[in-house]
This record gives sequence, structure tokens and C-alpha cells, in this order.
Amino acid sequence: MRFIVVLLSFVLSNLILSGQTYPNPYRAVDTWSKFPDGRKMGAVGDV
Amino acid sequence: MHIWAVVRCDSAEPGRFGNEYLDSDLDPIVRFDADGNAVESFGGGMFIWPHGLFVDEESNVWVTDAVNPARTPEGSRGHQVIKFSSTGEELMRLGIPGKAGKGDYQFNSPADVVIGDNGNIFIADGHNPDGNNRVMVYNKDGEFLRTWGQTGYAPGEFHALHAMAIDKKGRLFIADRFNNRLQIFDQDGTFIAQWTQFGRPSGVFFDDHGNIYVSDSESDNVQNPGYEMGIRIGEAETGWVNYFIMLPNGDPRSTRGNGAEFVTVDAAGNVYGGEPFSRKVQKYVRVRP
Repeated sequence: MRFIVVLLSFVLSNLILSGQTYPNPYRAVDTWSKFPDGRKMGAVGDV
Repeated sequence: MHIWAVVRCDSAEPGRFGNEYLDSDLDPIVRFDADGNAVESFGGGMFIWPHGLFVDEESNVWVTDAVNPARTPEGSRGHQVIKFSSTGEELMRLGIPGKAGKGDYQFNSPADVVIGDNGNIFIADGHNPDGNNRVMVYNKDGEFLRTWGQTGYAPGEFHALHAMAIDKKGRLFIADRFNNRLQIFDQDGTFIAQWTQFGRPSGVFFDDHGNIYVSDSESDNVQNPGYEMGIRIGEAETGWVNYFIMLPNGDPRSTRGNGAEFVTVDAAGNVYGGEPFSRKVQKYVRVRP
């Protein structure tokens, strides 16, 4: 019985801790957006 | 392949975020090619704070001006939604320029716009948590049809409508940002559900494969404790979150909001985030199946 309680506590604590640990299959591409005429990028809104 | 974006001018002065185009004629509506080069732009001199953007089935480009009423001078700009052809010809305007209001043809900082399959126009009115907090609906000719919503946190009430998107089933998803939830409606305004698992939503997008992408630029220790900033990707049908692109260097101690406010996806599955404070369209490529 004690083993089951410990096991459940372990599983539940990991579920809580992993609440946002979803996989990320993406990688960022640096400096993708640019203006050819020297204009600086400003704040970007909707895309 | 190309990506449309609202890009504001480079106003480096402190406190200019929110009305960057007040004294600039630079074009805020920009088309980027596949390599990220800006190849076309228009809309200069027509906005104070361009914000929401939608490209309809006929490739027309719709853009909102979400400038705050307190920062709106007398004039011909602000609190409008403008429809352009893909080459920048103005086709329609909704809203009274420079005058925020609650009338059937008035907005208060409209944050976003989306077009239904039948051509109906849905406008998120609007950006300010103490503003109109309602959805406005017009037919394809710009005639008022209906509205719903008021300030609050009950189902069907809003606290800053930041973005909208319609999924393949025709459901209207609204990023009810200050309530830390997505609200889902049918196109007549009937409440369907609310989802909180996508964090504090700033932007919403659906791809053609049944996936929903939600950008969270403001989750932090104060505004949405326990959540991180980034882009969550899940199933539009069930709401199940499958992936999370966490914002690199996102600091939950800062309430400024640093991540992508808007998100879109190209046909190859690459994800693009519109990031105001880092001043870039951030591209993400998929490197794992």
C-alpha cells in the first residue's frame, strides 16, 4: 500500500511538472525578415 | 510563397510603441518573399497604429488601426478597418476616422479582422481592455448585421479582443487576451466553448491540416502565472496541445510582453511569429517529424 502511494505521488508530481513540457519540433531561423533598401524593421504586428 | 505582415516604422524613441506611424509615411503593409526579403509594400500615411491583418480568398488585404483613443489626434486616421487589393488599391473603409465610439459603424481600437466564407466581415472591437469589448459583423458590402459582447469575464464577454480566426468548421475563435482564454462562437455569436490550455492568447491561426496555432506573448508571473510565452500548436477539433515553441529568453518576471503577438504558417509548415518588441518576423522551421 505504501509503495502504491509513493508511486502515485511520483506520477502525479511529474504530471504537474510536465504540464507545459510539450515537444518542440521547430528551430528558429535567425534574421529572416529584412528590407533591401536599408529601411530598419520596426515592431511587427499581424502576419 | 509569400508572407504578408504589418511592420511599423522604426521609432526608437521611448514611449512611441502604440502610435509609431503618427508622423511617418512609410508603408506598414509589407509582403515578404520566401527568403524574407520585403518585395512589396503599401498603406503609407493611412494608419497611426496598424495592427491586425487578414488576406481573404481573393487575395485582398484587410488591416485594422488599433491606436488608443487617448493617442488619436483630430484627423483622418485611426479606429478604422481598410480593405486593399493585393496591389494596394483601397477598396473599402469601415469606421469613422479619428473618432472612437460605440455606434454600429464605429470602433474603439479595432484589433483584428477576419472574413467568413460568405464574405461577412468580423471585427474584433477591440484592443483596449476597457474599450468596447464586442464583435462587430458586416456583410460583404460593409452593411451592419449584428454585434455581441460586453466587458466582463463570463462566456460571451470580453476583456480585450486581440485576434480572431475561423476554423474549417466555421467556428470563430477569439483571443480574449486579458481573460487568458480563447472563446469559440458560431458565426451568429452563439457561445460554444472557452479554452485556457493555449495560455494567454494574442494570435490565432489554423492550417489546412486541422491544427491550431496560438501565440502567447504575455504569459508571465503577473498576467498568467504558471504559463510560459511562446507558440502552442494543437488540434483544432479537440483543443489538445501537441507542441510548444517556447520563446527563447522569455522572462516571466517581465510584464512587457516579448513574444510573438501573431502567428501564421506557410504551405510547407514553417511557422512565422510577428514579434513587436524584437522587431522581426521570426521564422521557425520544422526539424523533426
